[in-house]
Amino acid sequence: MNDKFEQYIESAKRVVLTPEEKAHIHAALLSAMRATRLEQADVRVAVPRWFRWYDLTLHPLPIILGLVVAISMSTSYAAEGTLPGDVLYPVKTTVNEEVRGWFAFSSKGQLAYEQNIAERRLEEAEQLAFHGRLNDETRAEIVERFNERASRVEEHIEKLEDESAVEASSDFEARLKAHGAILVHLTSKDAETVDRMPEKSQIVASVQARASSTARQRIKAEAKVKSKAEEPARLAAAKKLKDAREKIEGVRALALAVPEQKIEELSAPSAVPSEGGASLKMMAVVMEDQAGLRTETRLDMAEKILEEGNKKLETGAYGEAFVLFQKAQRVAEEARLVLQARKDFNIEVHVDEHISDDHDDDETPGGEGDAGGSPKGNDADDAVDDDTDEDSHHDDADGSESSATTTSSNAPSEMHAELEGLVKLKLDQE
Amino acid sequence: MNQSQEEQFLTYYEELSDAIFRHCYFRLYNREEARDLTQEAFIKTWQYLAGGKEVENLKAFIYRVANNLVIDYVRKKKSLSLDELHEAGFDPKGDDQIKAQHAAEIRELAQHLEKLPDDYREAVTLRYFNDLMPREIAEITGESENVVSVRITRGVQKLREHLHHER
Repeated sequence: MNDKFEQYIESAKRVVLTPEEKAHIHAALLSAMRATRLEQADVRVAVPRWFRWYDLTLHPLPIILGLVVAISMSTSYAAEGTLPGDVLYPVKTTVNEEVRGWFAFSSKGQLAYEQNIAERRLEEAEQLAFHGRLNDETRAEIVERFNERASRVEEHIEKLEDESAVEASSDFEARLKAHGAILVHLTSKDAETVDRMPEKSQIVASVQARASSTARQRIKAEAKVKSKAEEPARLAAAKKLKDAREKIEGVRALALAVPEQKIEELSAPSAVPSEGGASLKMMAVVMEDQAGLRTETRLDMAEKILEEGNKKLETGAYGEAFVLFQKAQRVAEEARLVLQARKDFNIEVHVDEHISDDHDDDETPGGEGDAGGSPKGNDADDAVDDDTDEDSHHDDADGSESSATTTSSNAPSEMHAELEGLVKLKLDQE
Repeated sequence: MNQSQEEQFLTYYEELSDAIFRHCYFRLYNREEARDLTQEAFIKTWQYLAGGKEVENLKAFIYRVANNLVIDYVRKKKSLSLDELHEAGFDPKGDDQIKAQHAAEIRELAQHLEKLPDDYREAVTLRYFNDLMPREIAEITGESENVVSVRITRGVQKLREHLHHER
C-alpha cells in the first residue's frame, strides 16, 4: 500500500510544464514586465524605496532631503503650469521634467518619458496659439525642444523589438497626428489675420515630419510582426485586442461627456502648410458633407478594424491581427485627442487617417488624388498586403473605387476611398 | 522595479513554475487551464510587486495567488467534480505530455483525491507532490502549522483507507 502511495507521488511529480510551455509563460512574463515598466514611466513620480516615513525618523539625510524637497516643491509646483515665455518655464523643463526622467529606468520607461515630454511641448504650443501668445521666440523654443525629445523617442523606438516597436511607434504617431491637426487648426486662425504663414507653420511642419518618420518606423516594425503565427504572437494579439477594446470603450465614454459642436463650427484650415494639410482640408470638406464622420464614426471605424483583426486571429494570422488591433487602438487614441481639443479649445479637428496608413514620404505629392488609397511603393506594406490579398473583400458600396489593393486588413484605406468618393461627389455637385 | 529585480523574479519563476503548475493541475485536472492560471499567478504577483508592495514570503505568496485564481476559476465554472470532468473529457492519457504509464495512475490518484475534503487534499498535495514543509503550507493556507500537520496526517490516512478498500 505504501508502495502504491509512493507510486502515486512519483506519477504526480511528473506533472510538469513542457519546455515550450515554460518558455511561453516566460515570454508572457517578460511582456508583463515591459508593460509595468511603461506604466511606471507613465506615472513618472514613483516614490523611491528609501523614501519611507519610518526612515525619516531614523536617518537625518532623508530629513534634509525632505526639507529641500518641501521648499523646492512649491516653486516646482508653480512652474508646472507655465508656458514658454513665463519666468518659471525653465524650472519646468530643466528641473521638474529632468527629475521625472530619473525615475524612468528601462529603455521603454525612458521612451514613455520622452514621449510624454515631446507631447507636452505640443500641448504648450497649442495653449500659446489658442491664447495668441505664439511668437518667434516661443515658437523657436518649442520647435527646438520638441525636436530634441522626438529624436530621442525615435532612438528609443529603434531599440525596441517587434510588437513593442509597433505599439510605441503607433502610439506616438497617433499623438503626433492629432496634435498636428490641432495645431493646423489653431495656427491657421492667426494666419488669417497675420500674413506669416511660413513661420506659423514651422511647428506644424516639424510635427508632421515627425509623424511621417514615426509612421515609417511603425510600418517597418509591422512588417516584422505581421508574419508571426506562433503561440506567443497569439497571446500578444489577444492582449492587444483587450487593450484596443478598452481604449475604444473609454473614448466612447469620453465622447458622451464631451458633446459634439454644431456642424457650422466645423471649418477647414484656411491656409495649409503642406500636402498633409491639403489632405486635412479635403477631410474637413468631407466632414461638412457628412456630419457622421466624427468621433462616433471614427470609433465605429476602430471597431470595424477590430473585427478585421478578429478574423485574422481566427485564421491564425496572429501577427496581422496584432497590427490591426494596434491600428484600432491608434484610431481610438486619435479620437480621444480630438475630443480633448474640443473640450480644451472648443474646436473640431479631424485627423487625417491617410498619413498613417498609405503614407509614403518618398512619393507623397499627388497621393491625395489617388482613389483607393493604395499603398504606393511601400515595400513593407506591399510585402504583407500580398499575403492578405487572398482574403480581400469589398464590403462597402463604393468598393469599386478601391483597387485590388484594398484588402480586408486595410480598413482605413477603405475609409479613405470612401472619403475620396464623397469629395468627388461634392465637387460634382458644385 | 529594476533589471535585477526582474531577473530575480524570473529566477523564482524558473524554480517555482512546475510546482505552481502541478498545484493548479491537481485542482483542475486540465493542462491548459492549469498552464493559463500558472501564467496568470506569476504575472499578477509581478504586477503586485511592481506596484511597490512588499511581500515577505514570495513563494507562499505565489501559491496563494494561484490558489485564489483556482478558486475564482472553479467558482465561475460552478462545479468541477471528477465525473463531470470525465464527461468533459478529462483523460490524462489524452494529455500528450503525460506518459501512458503515469496517466493511469494520475487518473486513479485523482479519483482518490476527490474523495478527500478540500482542506485535506490541499495539504496532502502540497506536502507530497510539491515537497513543501508543514510550516510552508501553513503560510500559504493561513492556518497554523499544527492544523496543517493534522490535515496531512488525516489526509494520508484517508487515502490509505481508500487504497485499502480498493484492494
